[in-house]
Amino acid sequence: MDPDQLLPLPPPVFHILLALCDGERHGYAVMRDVAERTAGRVRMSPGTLYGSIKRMLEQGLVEEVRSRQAAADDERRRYYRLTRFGRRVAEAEASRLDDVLRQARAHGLLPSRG
Amino acid sequence: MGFFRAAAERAYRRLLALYPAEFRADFGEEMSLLFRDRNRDERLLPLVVDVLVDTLKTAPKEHLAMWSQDLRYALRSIRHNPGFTAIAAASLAIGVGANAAIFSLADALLLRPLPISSPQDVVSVGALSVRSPLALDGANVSYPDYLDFRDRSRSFAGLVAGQTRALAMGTDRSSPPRLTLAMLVTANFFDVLGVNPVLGRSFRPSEGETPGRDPVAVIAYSTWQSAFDGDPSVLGRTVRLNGVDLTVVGVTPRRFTGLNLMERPAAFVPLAMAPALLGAEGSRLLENRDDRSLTVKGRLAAGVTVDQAGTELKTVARALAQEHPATNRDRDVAVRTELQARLANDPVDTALIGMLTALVALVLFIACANVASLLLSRSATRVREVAVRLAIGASRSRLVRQFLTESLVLALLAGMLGLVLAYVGVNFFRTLPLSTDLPVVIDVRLDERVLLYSLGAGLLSVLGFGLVPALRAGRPDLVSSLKAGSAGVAAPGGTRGRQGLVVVQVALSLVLLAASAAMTRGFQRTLSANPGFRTQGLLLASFAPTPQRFSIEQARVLYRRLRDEALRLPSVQNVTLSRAFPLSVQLHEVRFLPEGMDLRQGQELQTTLGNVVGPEYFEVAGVPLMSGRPFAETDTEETPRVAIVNEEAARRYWPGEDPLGKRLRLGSADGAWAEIVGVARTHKYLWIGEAPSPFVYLPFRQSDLQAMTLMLLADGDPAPLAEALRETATRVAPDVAMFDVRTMEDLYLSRGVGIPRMLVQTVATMGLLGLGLAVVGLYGLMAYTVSCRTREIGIRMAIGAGRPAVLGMILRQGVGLALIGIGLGAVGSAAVSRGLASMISGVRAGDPVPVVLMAIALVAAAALATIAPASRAARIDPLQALRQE
Repeated sequence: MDPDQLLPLPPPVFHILLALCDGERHGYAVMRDVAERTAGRVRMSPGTLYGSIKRMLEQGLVEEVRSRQAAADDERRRYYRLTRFGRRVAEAEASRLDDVLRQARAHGLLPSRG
Repeated sequence: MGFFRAAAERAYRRLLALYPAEFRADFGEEMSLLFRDRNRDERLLPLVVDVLVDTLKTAPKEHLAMWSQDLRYALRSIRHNPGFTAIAAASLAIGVGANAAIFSLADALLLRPLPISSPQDVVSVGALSVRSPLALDGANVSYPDYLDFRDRSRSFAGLVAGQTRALAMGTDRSSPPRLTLAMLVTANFFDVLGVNPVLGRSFRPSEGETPGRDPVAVIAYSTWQSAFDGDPSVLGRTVRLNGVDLTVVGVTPRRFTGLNLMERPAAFVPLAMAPALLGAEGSRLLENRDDRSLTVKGRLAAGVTVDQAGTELKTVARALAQEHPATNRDRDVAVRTELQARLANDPVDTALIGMLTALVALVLFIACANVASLLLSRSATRVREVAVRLAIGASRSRLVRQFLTESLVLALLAGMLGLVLAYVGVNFFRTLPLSTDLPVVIDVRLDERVLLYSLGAGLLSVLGFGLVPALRAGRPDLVSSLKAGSAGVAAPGGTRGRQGLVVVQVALSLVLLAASAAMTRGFQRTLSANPGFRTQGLLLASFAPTPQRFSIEQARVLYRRLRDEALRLPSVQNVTLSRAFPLSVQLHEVRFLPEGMDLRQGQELQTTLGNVVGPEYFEVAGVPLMSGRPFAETDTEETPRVAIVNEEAARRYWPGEDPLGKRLRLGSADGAWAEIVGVARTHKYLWIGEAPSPFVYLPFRQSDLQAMTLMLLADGDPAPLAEALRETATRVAPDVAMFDVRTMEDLYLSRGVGIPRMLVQTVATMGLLGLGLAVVGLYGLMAYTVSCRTREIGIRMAIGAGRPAVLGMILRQGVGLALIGIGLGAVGSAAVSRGLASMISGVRAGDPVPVVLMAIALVAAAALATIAPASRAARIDPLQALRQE
């Protein structure tokens, strides 16, 4: 499937993809990561988070990590990670946003860099 | 952890119930954990608010997502199986459409609720003791009894009474009056029924008090539109009913068409005006306790049940029986729902609708069998799909729900297609001949009730027949289905189930076909036999002189002049007067007590159909007298009263005796004696299919009737006489309404032949639909069988079976199934023919001819349905078939 078909991504989906870029995480970790990166502006409440994850699983953007060794963690927690397709979609969305930003700068909506 | 935080966690777990079960199963645990984590780290109140908002926002979204996914799956599955979808939807549409069409007819004749506010609270009050064939007055109530019921009961928020009459109506003095229907009603009529005039007012209580004092009328919406062009200043203008000027005080809303499904009164007048409008008859209506001719409806008081109201009125009826033994002895009263009352009062239509409904249910059943059969064979191939999906984690309930969604989509499709078919049926029923000038309609229409009915029928069928496969699909044996390879081997149970269904289909379609053939033969037999009266050479014209203008004596003089003048018209051989004529709806009831007859408890009189006729009637109408004499000019008010009965009445009331010279008491248990002077041959009175029924004739000169029909017997075609008769009538009686001028032949063709023909066409259509559906079912099964047996047939051919042998084998199987079905159907047909024979004269119970004929047709159809799959089987290439695996 062409990643472009999924664009633009809903904000929660993109945030989850970003949170999973650095490796596998469980739900709460995703939520905290998003909150930290956005200085608390984007909140991932349970319904939003898992509703998004459900669709991302169906679309093949993320997958559940089945064979986890991390015994220290609560066994019940589920960990998710990006699929290769998920990464391509995240990249496509980032480049789309980049494009948008460039146009915004060209029109003087943002200070130009450097 | 604090008490509140622990409580919040428990509460959140409960809140998760708002999400779809499947979502909860997947993520519920995780979400609780997430909540617990946040509960540990965040402030409680903002967390609770945030989570609440989140849940309310996302739970509906998840439901919606799931439904739309189900729907997408369903649509995809339907798209990917166009053959299945087409046959299933078309079969169902035929079944649903046929049912919806019959429902629309049933609705028009019996079922449609009264067009008033809260019709479910309005009940029918009727007298019970006399069993009456027409129920014109048998179930009705007299005005004095009505007043007592009204004043002595507490069960009703209001009790109204009314009577629909054919009256001459004119809207200005210059144009001749024309006959229409008007309803005489109690003053509280509109208020109790909750009918608010669109213009003006309803009647005031005072307008029901004094006979003849308040000449006012509320006109029907249709009258307002047709006679007054919808003029908003119609209030205060005048309508003339039977020569009485009435001031228009109100206009009914368009949807209110009266209390009868078929009669559409043009105006409503206070019952207190009856003496003015109807003369002596109207006074009797208001005064006589045994003049039981009012329709009474009651609106139940809040919280009162039909039974409670009935119990109360029965108490009143018992008291009345004590107070007025002469008129009310053994009189009982019944409070019934509107529907119960209609079914009881209209046994002919009820039986007819019952029969049609039963037959059309068979059509639907045959259609459903097709769907079930298709689903069965699909569920065999589907087992694998289900097994795979279960293996990758779909829940069983999810799969069941998805199959149900598929069924719903199918039902919707079938319901909509069915409506198109129903529309065809409705248009067909709309051509039902009524043949009268009066505003009487059979209002068959495709309305929201029919729409709901079709969708409901589609839904019930699909759910009934889709549920079993759906539930089976929810419980497949995972391992064996996955192992079974890709061939989609049919479970033997599936084929056997389908064979059973096909046998039932064939049996039911034989029942349908045999029923329609038996009816066709029955009607043919009846129509080819003499209906018992003259159908050619007769011209009929009805007159309604108003009591305002004509006393009884004047009316008699008028009729004598009309008759004398008509006799002078060219080619007229004879003329007579008759209140009604064969197959007319104006036949009335005669209540009498045969001399020496012991009546059962609760019965005071016999009631039969009857007619009031002139002396020449029997000759003119072609009804031969079997013994005795016809009425004579000398049978007048001054001479002893006389009557003529038909053979059926003679057989019933005086079995084995000569009825001549026997006497009847007329009208009531102490009415005048009338001596039987003749016995007439029995003929068809109400409709051509009726069983022989007793009938009583009374002489015109001994009656006080005013509305009569002139019957002219002509040499040759009587139709051209109509113009001359019209001129004569205008000359002799310029201000008398003349209506329903037509030849007996026209009447006979529409009522006698038209209605039976329509009935036969309806049932024959059902038979053909049933046959078509069964043939499709048989074809589908045989095609499927051949495709499943390809390998086996290949082997047979490889070891020497020839093509003819294979062809014969498949044909034998198909026709064999049909033969089993035919055997079962023959048994069913015998039962059905007994039922038909009791309803329609001419149909003989157990007549083998229709069954045999239709069985032959079915065998031929079965062979045709099997021939294509059989020849496909015979063309199988053994090498290819064996290589397939």
